[in-house]
Amino acid sequence: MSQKSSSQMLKGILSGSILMLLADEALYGYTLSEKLAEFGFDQVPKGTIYPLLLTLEKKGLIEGRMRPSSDGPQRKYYFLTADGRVEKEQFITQWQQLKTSVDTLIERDGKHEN
Amino acid sequence: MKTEQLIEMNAELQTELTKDNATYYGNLIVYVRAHSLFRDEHQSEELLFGILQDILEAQAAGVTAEAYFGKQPRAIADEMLQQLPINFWDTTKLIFTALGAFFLFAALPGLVNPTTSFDVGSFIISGIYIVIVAIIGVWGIGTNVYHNHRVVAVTGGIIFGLLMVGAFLLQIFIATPFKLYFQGNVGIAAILLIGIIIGFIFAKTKDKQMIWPLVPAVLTSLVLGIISRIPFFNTYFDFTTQQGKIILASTLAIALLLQYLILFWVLRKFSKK
Repeated sequence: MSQKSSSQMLKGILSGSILMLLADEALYGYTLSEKLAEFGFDQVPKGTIYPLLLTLEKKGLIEGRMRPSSDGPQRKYYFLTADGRVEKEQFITQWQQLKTSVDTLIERDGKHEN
Repeated sequence: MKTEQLIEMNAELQTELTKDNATYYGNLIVYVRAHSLFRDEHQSEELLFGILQDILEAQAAGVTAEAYFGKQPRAIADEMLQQLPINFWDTTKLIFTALGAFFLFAALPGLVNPTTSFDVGSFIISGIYIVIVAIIGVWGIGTNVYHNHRVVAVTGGIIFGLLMVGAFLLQIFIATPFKLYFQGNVGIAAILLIGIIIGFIFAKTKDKQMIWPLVPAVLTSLVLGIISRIPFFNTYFDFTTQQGKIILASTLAIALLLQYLILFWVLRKFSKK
């Protein structure tokens, strides 16, 4: 797989994961990156999330609002919108279908090698 | 939060960055600002401010800006820029602010001598030319941030300098029929009005470092322009006589020298930073 398509795939997965995390609570850039790292995305440069946040906001799937912060000036928190919730559900369905298909292929590949 | 507030707070917060993180973020901000001239300024500043807050939080946790944001900031910046909406209103505001600043600061030296006409046409042409050159210059500086080619930077600087000199040559060699004479009290009123507007801008500007180099030329032009229009001082400041011309040339030369000395001092301060 080329690096470009692999990066596109990662972006798609990251976008879906961001929607899932924002469904639980509103987060700002740093806390979102920490949450992603907790779920195994620790090798992904955190800078990657900023263009994704802009894209999701542009599509109306998330909304950024400036909110007071305990450690200084206001911060931009991201919230999931109604469209974002629909998109999140679609992502989960698509991912489960893909996962089942890819798992089946991996299983078959393993059997062939044995 | 207003865009101006975001910019101010950004500058304040940047002082909390470590040296390496300041360089990393400084390059990012120059690149994004230089390439977002046609994009929505508020969204761009909100994004930059958010990234700075996140980098500071990572710094407090012992993570460097590079480890946090990544080793390819330019690629990420390009992706972010693509997502920022185009906003021609912001661009128009920026262009008119730059034009306004040029007209204000460059008009006074042109008004010093009451016996010569003020060519509005060539003045406007020079203004438009200088704004275009400035936009190209800003874009060039932003692009070179991640190339870091010394030869390109020096060559670009020389070309930029020559293009700026071109603006003054334009004013000298282009003559249009739109000439105005600002003599007597009309001239004094015009000079005072421009002086008051500049004074107001100067008082309102928090970071005065970039304005200081212009002060000697503006003040000298202002004083000379007014004095030469008051009949009482006509003996010494009649610019049609040889003595008047010498006084005018030597005073402006001293002001220009002071201007370059202050500019040199400001640039040294910046490069030390």
